[in-house]
Amino acid sequence: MTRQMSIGKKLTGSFGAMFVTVLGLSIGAFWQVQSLTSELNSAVHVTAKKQALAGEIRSNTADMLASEESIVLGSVLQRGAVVSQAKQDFRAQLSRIEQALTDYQPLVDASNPPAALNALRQDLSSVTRAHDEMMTFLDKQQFDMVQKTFDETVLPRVKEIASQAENLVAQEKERLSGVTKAAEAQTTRGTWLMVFMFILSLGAAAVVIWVIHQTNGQLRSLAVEVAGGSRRVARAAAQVSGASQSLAQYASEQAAALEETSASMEQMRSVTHKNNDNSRGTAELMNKSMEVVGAAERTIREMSASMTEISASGEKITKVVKLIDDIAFQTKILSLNAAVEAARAGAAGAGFAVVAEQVGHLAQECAEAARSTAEMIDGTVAGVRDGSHKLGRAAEAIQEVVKHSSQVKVLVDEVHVGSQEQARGIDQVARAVTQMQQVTQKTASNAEEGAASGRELDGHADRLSSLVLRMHALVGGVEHIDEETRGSARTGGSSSAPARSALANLRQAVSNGGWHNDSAPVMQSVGAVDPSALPLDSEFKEF
Amino acid sequence: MAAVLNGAPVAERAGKYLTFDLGTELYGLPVLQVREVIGIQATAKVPHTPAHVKGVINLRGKVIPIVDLRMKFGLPTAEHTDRTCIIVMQLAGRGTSILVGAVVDRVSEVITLSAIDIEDTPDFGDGTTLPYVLGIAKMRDGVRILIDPDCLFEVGELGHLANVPHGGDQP
Repeated sequence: MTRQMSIGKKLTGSFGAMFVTVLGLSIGAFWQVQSLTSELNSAVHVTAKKQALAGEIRSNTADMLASEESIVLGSVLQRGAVVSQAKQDFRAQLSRIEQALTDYQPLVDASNPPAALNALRQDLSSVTRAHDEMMTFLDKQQFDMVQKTFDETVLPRVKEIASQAENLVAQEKERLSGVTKAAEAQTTRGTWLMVFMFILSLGAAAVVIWVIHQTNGQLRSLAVEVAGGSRRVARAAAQVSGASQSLAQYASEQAAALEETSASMEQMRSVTHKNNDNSRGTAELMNKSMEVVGAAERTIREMSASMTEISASGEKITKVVKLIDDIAFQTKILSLNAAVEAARAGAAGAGFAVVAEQVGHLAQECAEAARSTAEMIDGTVAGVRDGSHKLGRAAEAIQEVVKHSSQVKVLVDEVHVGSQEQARGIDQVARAVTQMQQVTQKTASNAEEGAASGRELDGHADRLSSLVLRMHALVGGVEHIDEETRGSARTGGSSSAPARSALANLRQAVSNGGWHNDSAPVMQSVGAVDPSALPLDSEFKEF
Repeated sequence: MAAVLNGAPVAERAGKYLTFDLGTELYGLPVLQVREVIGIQATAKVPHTPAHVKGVINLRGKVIPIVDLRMKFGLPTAEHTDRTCIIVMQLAGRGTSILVGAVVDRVSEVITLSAIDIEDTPDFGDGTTLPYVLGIAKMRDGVRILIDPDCLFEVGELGHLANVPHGGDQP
């Protein structure tokens, strides 16, 4: 539960408990002292005074008795000076007693019985009266009566007063002893209270010491952790610085690459525009070629019909030729028969035989002509059939061409649309590349700022380390913490080396002029930051 | 007359011949024994006749037997074409002449053969002669076998088909 409390609460609680304890101790002591003082007051101022008054009363009573005895003795011996002296003493003593009584009166409280005082006063007045009586007797020179009054009245009364005073003294003594006892008891109680309070304060002090020790331990471990944290912060700052430098370098390289990309995009845009035009021209050409192909298809269809007609005509011609051939055959047979008849006729049929032979030759020639015509016609028909067949295939091919042409047209249209979209996409990509260039420049400047922040963070880490050292000094663990912090400083110094090398690379790149023009502002900013980055080393060495 | 011709000198065998084809073979027939040439006609098959006797036809009122010369000569048979003809031959029968139709693949022409064009039938080694071959005519494009139709058919070969007497036709 103590761990959940804050140090302030703990310390406040501890010191509050301490304060309460001390306050209680003080109050108890004060109260004890007050009580003791009042007791002593009552003892010293009242009881002692009363005792003194009672003692005074008692001594004066004795003196008064002595004075009375002197008076008696002087009267007997007829010594007026002694008597008057005794009388004066008596008066003085009487007045002192009365004064003492008067002083005693206010000191009496209810507990003190006033009867003794009253008795004392009555005895005193009776003594006074007896004295006056003695004086009267003395003036009358009745010495025996004086003697007698003294013996009978004064002496017992004075003794009574003495005893009363003695009683008072004893009473006050007893009271004083009671007061003393009470004071002793009070002192004992106070002592015990003090002891108790002391033990309590010891316990509180132990608690406070424990709390402080615990808090101290927690603070120490915290300080150790903070030291480790500051070490890590230093390392991380160095890494951030190095990473930012690398990032700046990469951003610059990226800017150069983006420039190349932009140029390539420009080329692609021109190529795409050319593609667009070409695809449009191709689409128009495809339209024209499709018209031409359609015309060719119609022509082939007409040609096919014509060839069919030719084929039909050929068949008719074949029939006619067949007829001619038949006629020639019949004529030949007739001529043969004529020749047979002429031969049978002998010499008379010789002329007819010649005619028959000529007719036979004519029939032969006619048959041959018919045969050759038939062959030619057959060849023509076959050619026409073949041509028709090929024409059919050509028509199929042209239909295929038409189909493919329409597909090609669709594809070309798609290519056209695609190139338009490509052109739009390339424009968007070009815009994106421009934005990327801006973003890259911003990234480069941000990386530079990040590097500066990293170095600043380094400084903060150093300050944090010194703060941690002070904190350790406060907590009390200076020696080994110092070592740790030195270790962190060393690691911080070593981790800043990559950042320096990256910076050197950057400077090298700048001097080589390997950066694109657009990235020049970035590099100027790099150069501007660069000199401030170098003293880091000396700082670390100082540290 | 055929026997006379067969044994006669070559000079007597000179004269006009009607030439015809059977497949690739070329033959000649004395024109005087040819009655006429007609186109192929449908024949009526006569029972109990040899296989090469196709049947009979009616030639202008006369019934004449028709013989397939391919089958007669032992050549492979062939389908009739539009050039297939029937040569009606006039054979010298027993005291009278008979008409027999011979189916041939093609009738060529009537040629006149001189004596020098005709050779005797060569001896095939066994000394027998072929009575129905008059001789071999030498032509520019080969040889032609000259047939003697009178010796072509054995007696009774044509059965009673050729025995139908028909007088008055003899020239």
